[in-house]
Amino acid sequence: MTVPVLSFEHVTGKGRKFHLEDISFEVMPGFIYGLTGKNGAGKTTLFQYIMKENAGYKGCICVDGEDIKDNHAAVMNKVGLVSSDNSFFESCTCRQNAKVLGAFYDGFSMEKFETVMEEWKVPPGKVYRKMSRGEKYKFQLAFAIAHDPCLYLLDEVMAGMDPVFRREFFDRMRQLIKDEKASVLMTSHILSEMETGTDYTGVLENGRLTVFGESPEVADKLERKII
Amino acid sequence: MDGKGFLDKGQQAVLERFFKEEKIWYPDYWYLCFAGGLMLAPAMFLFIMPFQIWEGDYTSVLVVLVLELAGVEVYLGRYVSFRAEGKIKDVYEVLRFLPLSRCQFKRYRIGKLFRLCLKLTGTAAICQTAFAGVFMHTFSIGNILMPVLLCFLAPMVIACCQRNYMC
Repeated sequence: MTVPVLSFEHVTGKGRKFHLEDISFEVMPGFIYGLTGKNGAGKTTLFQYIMKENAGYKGCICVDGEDIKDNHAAVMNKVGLVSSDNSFFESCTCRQNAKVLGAFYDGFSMEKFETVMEEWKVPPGKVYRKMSRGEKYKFQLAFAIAHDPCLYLLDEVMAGMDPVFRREFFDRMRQLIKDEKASVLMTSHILSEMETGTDYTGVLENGRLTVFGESPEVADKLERKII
Repeated sequence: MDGKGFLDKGQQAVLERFFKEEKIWYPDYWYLCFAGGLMLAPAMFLFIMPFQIWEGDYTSVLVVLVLELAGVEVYLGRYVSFRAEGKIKDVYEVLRFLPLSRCQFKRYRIGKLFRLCLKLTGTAAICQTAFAGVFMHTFSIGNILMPVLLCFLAPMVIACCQRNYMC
């Protein structure tokens, strides 16, 4: 039996303006999953429950079969986050950031990091503060790829990417999850991107996961609902 | 290892390596070393003197103690916060999504404080005992207890009351 890369089991918690109620779903290896919903629906809060140590929620969140509350630090080795919430040393270059912070990961490869940065034409010697939002996301993604996580969490990254790179990005993610038996969970407001780019989509409304299924079907349902 | 109940050697070693590279990411490294040293030096100057000399002058002791506590705080400031874009940021803010337990980070900080206090206490106790013996031809257990109280217990107790150091 295949172990889900990520599973939410009856996760309930309090957000800033809402309650997340009984969220349950699984992310299987080899697929791209998307979460969509209005601002304040709970997408980012769900990510924070995974990423924050001692996040206040009830229920169980497992990464690669391991409850994140049991050993959060070890689980973080298996997760790659790309988000505007992610902090780096602003006055340092990408290379310096990768060197200093990559050391925290068990299998971080500086070589892999440099290769991906080169592939995406982002100079590793550029100071983080001086990078555009898209470049920052590319750097973060290269940083994540360099430690071979089994779960990529991408929080609203589409908004900072140009259309050409978006296509390139999905191609790269497909290649990654195929080669490394990983999965991607991303949030976005852009429904068309979710429909074409992801395999499964979930819709969050006021802290509840109202729809979850294959992306084209979910997109159909949402379009019908809007009409 | 869950990184909560005891020292995780792996995480402690990574933190040690991270802070060895601090000159890369820490713009105030030399300034804080210098400022911390500047505050600690006069405090230590008094504390290495046999307490029999300054016994009774509690105002001076209090002033010097405050200077010493501030010096320790400044000297260890690099383990707590750093300056970026003109703002003071918590170091852990950059490390929070990495494979590192917050508790282990706090234990690392307290370890650094413990070692600094131990060095200050050792220096003060040895010097006080030697100076008391050589120049005053006397020795009291106070020559050891005073440095322990002022250089070790006082900063450690204050740190224990701060959330930056305790889990």
